Parts: sequence; C-alpha cells; structure tokens
Amino acid sequence: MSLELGLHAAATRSTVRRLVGGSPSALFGGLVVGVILLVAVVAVFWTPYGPLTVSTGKELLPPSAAHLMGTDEYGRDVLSRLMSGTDLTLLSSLGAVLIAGLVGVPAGLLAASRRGAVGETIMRLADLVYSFPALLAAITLVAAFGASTVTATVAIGVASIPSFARVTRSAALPILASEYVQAARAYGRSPLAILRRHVLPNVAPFIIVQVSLLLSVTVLAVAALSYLGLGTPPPTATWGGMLENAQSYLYQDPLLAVWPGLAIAVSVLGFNALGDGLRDLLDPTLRGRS
Amino acid sequence: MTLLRVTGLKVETGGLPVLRGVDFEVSAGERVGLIGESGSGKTVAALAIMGLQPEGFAVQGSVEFEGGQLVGLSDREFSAIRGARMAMVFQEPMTALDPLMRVGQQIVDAVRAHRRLSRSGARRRMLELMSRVGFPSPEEQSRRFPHQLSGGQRQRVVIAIALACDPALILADEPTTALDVTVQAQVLALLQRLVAEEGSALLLISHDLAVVSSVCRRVLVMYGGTLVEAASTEEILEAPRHPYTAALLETSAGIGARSQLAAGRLPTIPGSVPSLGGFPEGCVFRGRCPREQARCQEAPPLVGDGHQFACWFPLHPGSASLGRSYIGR
Amino acid sequence: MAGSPLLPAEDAPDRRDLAFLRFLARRLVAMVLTLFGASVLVFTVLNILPGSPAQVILGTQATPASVRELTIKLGLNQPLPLQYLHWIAGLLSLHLGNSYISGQPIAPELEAALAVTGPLVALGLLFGLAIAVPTGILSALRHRRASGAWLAAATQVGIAIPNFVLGILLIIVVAVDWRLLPASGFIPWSQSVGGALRSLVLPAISLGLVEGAILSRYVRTAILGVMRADYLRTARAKGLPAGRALVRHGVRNASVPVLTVLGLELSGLIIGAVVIEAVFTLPGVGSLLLSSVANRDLITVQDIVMLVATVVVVANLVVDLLYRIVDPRLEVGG
Repeated sequence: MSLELGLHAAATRSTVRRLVGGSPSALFGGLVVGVILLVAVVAVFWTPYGPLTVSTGKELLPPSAAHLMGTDEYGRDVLSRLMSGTDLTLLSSLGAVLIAGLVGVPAGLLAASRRGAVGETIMRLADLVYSFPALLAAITLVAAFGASTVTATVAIGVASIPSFARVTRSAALPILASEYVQAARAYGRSPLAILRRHVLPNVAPFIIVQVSLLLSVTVLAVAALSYLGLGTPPPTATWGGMLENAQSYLYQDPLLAVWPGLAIAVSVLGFNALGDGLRDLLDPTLRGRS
Repeated sequence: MTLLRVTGLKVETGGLPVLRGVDFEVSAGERVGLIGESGSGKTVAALAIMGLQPEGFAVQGSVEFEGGQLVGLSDREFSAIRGARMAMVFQEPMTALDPLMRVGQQIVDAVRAHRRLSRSGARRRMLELMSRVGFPSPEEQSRRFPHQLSGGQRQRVVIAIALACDPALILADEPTTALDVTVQAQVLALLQRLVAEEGSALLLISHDLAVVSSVCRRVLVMYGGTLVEAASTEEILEAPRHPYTAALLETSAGIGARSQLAAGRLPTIPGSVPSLGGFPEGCVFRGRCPREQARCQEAPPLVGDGHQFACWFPLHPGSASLGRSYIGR
Repeated sequence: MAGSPLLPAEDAPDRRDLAFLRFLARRLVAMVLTLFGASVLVFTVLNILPGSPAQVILGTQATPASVRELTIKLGLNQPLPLQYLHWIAGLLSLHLGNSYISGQPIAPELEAALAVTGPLVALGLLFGLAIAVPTGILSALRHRRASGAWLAAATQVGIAIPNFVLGILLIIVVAVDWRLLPASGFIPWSQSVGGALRSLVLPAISLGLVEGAILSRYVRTAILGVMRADYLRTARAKGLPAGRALVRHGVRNASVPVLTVLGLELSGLIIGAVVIEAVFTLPGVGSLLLSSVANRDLITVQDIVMLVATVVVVANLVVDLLYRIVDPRLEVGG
C-alpha cells in the first residue's frame, strides 16, 4: 500500500514532465484548455467588436474578413460574442467547481476520518443530493430565485458537491487505513495534522483529476442552463444563449448555431480529455495498455 | 518416450528477452521440476508452452508435443490440445476461477470442451472429479461459487479442471504458493497422487526447492530466462555444478545454511535479480557470481550428458554437499 | 466481506433469501428517507422566498384584497409545515393538486406529458445501448489496433458533444437540409402512431448518442477487464477458443460494472430529456417543468421535481437489485 502511495506522490511531482510523453489525451486536453484560457484572458481586454454592439443593416452576415464568424440577427459580431461568452462560461464553471470543492473536499475528508454517525450522515446527505441530477437541482433553484449567473453557478456548484465528497472519501480511506498513518496516530499526532501532512497530499492528485473532469460537466451545465433561458439573462453573450437565438434562424443561417455549438463541444472535450489523461498519468493501472 | 521437447524457446516482449533460448525434454509420465526465483521466466515458459503467453509476447523456437509442433499453431488448433492433452494448474486459485459461475459448472465446461458428453454425463464426470480431488460432498459443493470456498478448496477445483480430460502433461505453476502452509502439503500430495494414478507427466514450477525435490525426479534450474542447470534431483542437491544452483541451495533453509545462521548471518545471494532489460551480456549470472572471470562475458552453453550445466567455471562435483538434508527430509 | 477464505460460507438457501430480504428492506427504507429528504429540500427551497404566489399569479395590478382572497383559497396563509404536509399527503394519494396558474388539476397534464417523455427516454436508452454494446466490445477486442483506438477516440468525441448541440446539428442536417424528419413539434399518439414515432426519432438519437458514447467506454473497460482476467486464461487452458471463452465468461462479468453505470445513465437520460424537449419543442415533462418555472407555477414545479427524483431513485434501486442477482459475491451484508 505504502508503495502505491509513494507512486502517487511521485506521480504528482513529475506530472508536468510526463505530460508530454505520458498521455496523448492529457497533452491534447491541456492544449485545448490552454487555448480556451488564452481566449478568455484576451477577451477580458479586447474583442474585435463590442459583444453587445448592435449594427443595423449588418444582420446575419456570412463570415468575412471583417466578421470572421459573421454576424447575428442584430448585426452583432459572432466572434466577439463567442469570446466574451468564454469568460462568462469559465467564470461560472470555475465558481461552481470552487463551491463544490470547498464544501465537498472537507466533507469527504470528514466522512473518511470519522466513520460512525458523522461519516454516515455526510454520505447519506451526499446520496440525497446525488439523487438529484445537477440540472434538475439548478432548475429548482432558478424557479425559486430567478434566472441569473449567480443562481446558475451556485446551483451547479451545490449539485456537484457529492462527486467531490465521494472521490475525496474513497481516496482518503485507504490512506487513513495505511500503516504509516496508523504509526503517526501511535506517535500521538493530532487527527488534523494527519489529514494535512499525510492524507491531503495523497488525495490531491485525485482532486485535481476531479476538478478537470467536473469542469467539463459544469461547462456543459452552464451552457445548458443558458440555452434553456435559466442562466445569465440576455443580452449578455453566453454560448447557450447564442445557440438558443441561432435556432430561430436555422433555415437562413445554420452557421450561426454551429459556432457556439462547436465552442461548447470543444471545451467539454478539452476538460474531459485533460481529466482522463491526468488520471491515466496518476494511476497507470487504470490505463488501457494500448 | 519423449512427450515434450522444447528447443531454443525464446520469448520477447517490447524488444526485451524474457526467455533466451531454453532447451529441455519431458518424458511420458515423468515428473520434472522447474525452479528459479521470481522473474527468472519460469511462468512465461509454461504459458508459452501452453500458447497462453500474454498479449505482446512473441514466442520463437520449437515446442514439440506428442510429435507435433505447437509454436505457430492457430488459437483454434491449439484449443484442441489445451485441456485435452495438456493442462495447467495456476498459481492463484483466488482469481483463476470465474467469480460469477458455480464451480461445478466451471468443471463441466472443462469436460465438455473436448468430450461429446450429454449434460448429465458431463455432470457425472464433474462429480467424479470433485470427489477425486477431495470434496466429501461434491453434489452440494459443486453448487458453490468460488468465494464460498477456501483457498485450498479452490485450488482443488482448479486441479479438477486440469484433470478433466486426462491430459498427458500437466503444467503446475506454483500450485501451492498462494495457500496456507498447512494446506500446501495436502494439495501437493493430492497433485502427486493424481498424476501418478493418471500416468500423466508433470512439469512442476516452483521457487521452493523443498517442494520440487519432494515431488520430482529431475530438476531444471532457471535464471534470467535461461536454463543454468538440469540434472536429477539428487545430483542437483548433492553436487550442483552451477554457482547459481549452489547459491540457491545455500539460501534454502537446509543444513548448509545452518553454519551461516550459527554465525549470525542470513544466507543470501549477493545482489538482486535484475529487472527485465537489466541482465548482463554473456552469462546472465555475472555480477552476482562469486566465480566470475573475464570469459563470462561470453554466454556459456548448456553442456554435459545427463547432468547439464551452463557455466565456464563450474563447481567441482562433490565439492558442495549441501543438499543432503533435503533427501533425508 | 462475504465468505472468509478459511471458513466457507454456508450455502443454505433460506439464509440467503433472508439476507436478500433484509437488504431489500434496508434499501427501501433508505429510499423512502431519501425521497422524504428530497421533498423537504424542494419544498423549502421553493417556498422560502418572500413574495406571495398569489401576487405573482394576479400580477402587479391586483388589489390587496383579491390577493388575500386567492392566498386563502390556495391555502397559502397556513404555516409552511402544514402546507408541506398538505402537499405530501396529496402526492401520496396521487392528488397532485391544481396549477396555481390555470387552476386546472396537474395530474392529467402531467400524464399527457409523460406519454411523450416516457417513450423518448426509452427510445434514447435503446439507441444508446445499440451504440454502446457493439462499439464497446469492438474497441476492446481491437484495443491493440488502430481501428480500436479510432473507435475509442470517436466515443471520446461523442461524449463531448452535448445532447442539445447534437440535436441542433441534427436539425440542421436531417430536417433543414435533407427534409427527412420534422425539425420540431409532436404529433400526438392518438392522431398517428407513426407520426409520433417520426417526431421522436431525432430527439431520441440526440439523447441516446451521448449516453451511448459514455456507456461504450464502460463496456470497453469491462470487456478489457475480462480479457485480462485470470479466469479467462483458465477457460482457454481448458481448451475453449479465445472467442468462446470471452462469450462464456464475458457477458456476466462485464455486465456487473456496466449495470452500475446504467443507473447513472438513466438519470442522465431523464434530465437530458428536459433539454432535448426544449430543443425539439416536444410537449413533454421537461417542457411542462420549464414553462412552470417561467410562470412561477411553483406547485407544478414541486410535483415534477419530485416525480423525476422518484424515478431516478427507483431506477437506482432496481439497478442495485439486478446487480445483486448477477453477482453472487454481494449476497450477504453491504
């Protein structure tokens, strides 16, 4: 067991080095995520046009040198809106993952270290939230508090807490049962110190993987909510909202729907591939030996 | 009569040699031991003979069995031989059985793989096999799932599967290693008795010299994917010629080791078994061998008549009489 | 867990049945508790906000008197716990209550919606399985070859395409370009069964493809696991050819992990249906839910959310039971 844990620790240290040669999936995912982050940063400072700038007479233009992805039904530049939507998507997704992690990781650690009533209660609660598909929880919260970026972010975050709690707990359990933690207990090291010194470093890789995998889920959920009109309200540019608008013009301008669709799919693919690849790198036994 | 003739058997994976050309023979009804540390290639040798080498392992050379060449057979051709003429007992009874299938059914499958028996006929054969391997109430115990049996019982099931079609050769890969010490002797005795009753030949693979010497007349010693010595059990124990065999004898808890134990030292072979790609050029025992000289950079051939060994500077016959204790046991 | 290696478990059938019944009872209790917790959660979230539903229903022009009258009529002047009990008692006796907005009973409307969503989810699941099983097995069998790698990569991409994006792409190609199938809307079953099925084809494909892609990877992993299992080697040592050994031992063993995911997949399909119904403007449960949210028809929202949660929880229980039937190792305990 301790050998295995040692391997995990070593894996964390050399992850970056091995990224290049170890897993094509992680490399691909990392590249895609890198490009998305770059676009998001650029969009904060600069977009070709204002994402909300309406220009009459330039509605539904096909792609051109002036408008690389064309314009929408109000003559707004699609590329600019897509870039600005990247910011909102990432912010909302990261916010949701942050909420899920800040609650889920401590809850998982607690559930792992306190078996008995406390741990049982936590995992039952997690099961309870888990029986609620994230999107359903989000719809419920929106019904109560109205559609907004904050509601959508919080809703997705809350619904994602159990997956963090579960991953953390199942990663922490074998470490807490390991001989060196038993030894540390025997020395009289406090439970908190054990969690910090022994458990957290070994659980961290699993959490990192989970963050990446969960980001692909939250990106999708954010897009779905704004597509359903339950996320950030218009006219702010969101990928889902753009897709929803474009659906009214499928017969005139199908490309209008393709751009935001592509953006959503590529982001989900990127985070997913990164998470999968990282998991392969951290736990080579799971990898298909291909 | 030669049953199995292995010549120049080589196995490679990812460009690394696992077996470097192994030659030996097994006669009909003969019991031969194959001994070596883990990583010596003994399991791979058995799997290669059975045509069950893992994916990505390339087998070269020749394996003649009952007069036919096995290397290069298609899966279908091989399947006609496996289980029927040649069977295998595996090391891990925990995982060798399908956890979701009743053990009786798994034996029935083995019977019906080669025999055109009716459902009830196959069942009768299965019950007969189960009682032969020592299940007191086969009718009831055949309905159990593997997890409901003890390790020893599971290994008995695996042995029953191997015996299902009266094979001429049984390859047993560390059949007792995963078992409790008290059960090991029982299972070994059972295997020995059944092989004798059937008149099958046995290739017993083990790292444990005591196990092999109690069952087998002849012993093959393997190291680094090569045979380093092959002789009768008595000669191996009493007069090993290869330094590796001698070292192996030293480390086994026999009389030879006691003098060192008395001096407060646990006998070990210096160094450790290298990893797959890490064996030296020339003699594979170089670097760990106390008798190494310049000539050892060239691989020694397996020489000798009756008592074969692969060493440029063998021990003098009779210089080491370490193994007597085994015979006496 | 079950059966220590030294002390083989007794195989007495009645004891096993008893253990199974005990397990079932425990799971049923857990399920009821989960649903109870969920109902409290949903009710609290939806009713905690200040602001009277009556005000929302009547609009900003309404007089305070008429708002008060409607509040009393809807029973909204009672304390929240009482309102909760009222609602739950209604649900348990299958009285879903009346819509705040239309005043009509919710049940018939929900029933009509289920006639769309039920078949949609079932078709989606069928389509998903029809994709997942063959591709998963094939990519496992060919995992050392380029074709297997391509299949695995294709499922990876399939997972990444959200169902609503796929739905819109399908509309663009199949409905707009080829004019093969309707782009939206639903022909009721009573009018034309063929027409209803035609309007469900594209939605079911959009729904099933993604879930199928996810499932395909689990099938692949499960089959690979069986291919590398020691018992498969034992089977081949018996003389079973590789293919026959895989069929003999693979179906059961691979279905264990796949079953576990299937429970999750089902909740994915149900919630996916909500979105897909919006894409294809199908009058299903999802559309009803979304319009109720938009109208702040909270009682309808409550009912539908509980319905979906119940289906998800029950589906997971069924999967758990199946799991136990397939895997004898789980018969006692846990």
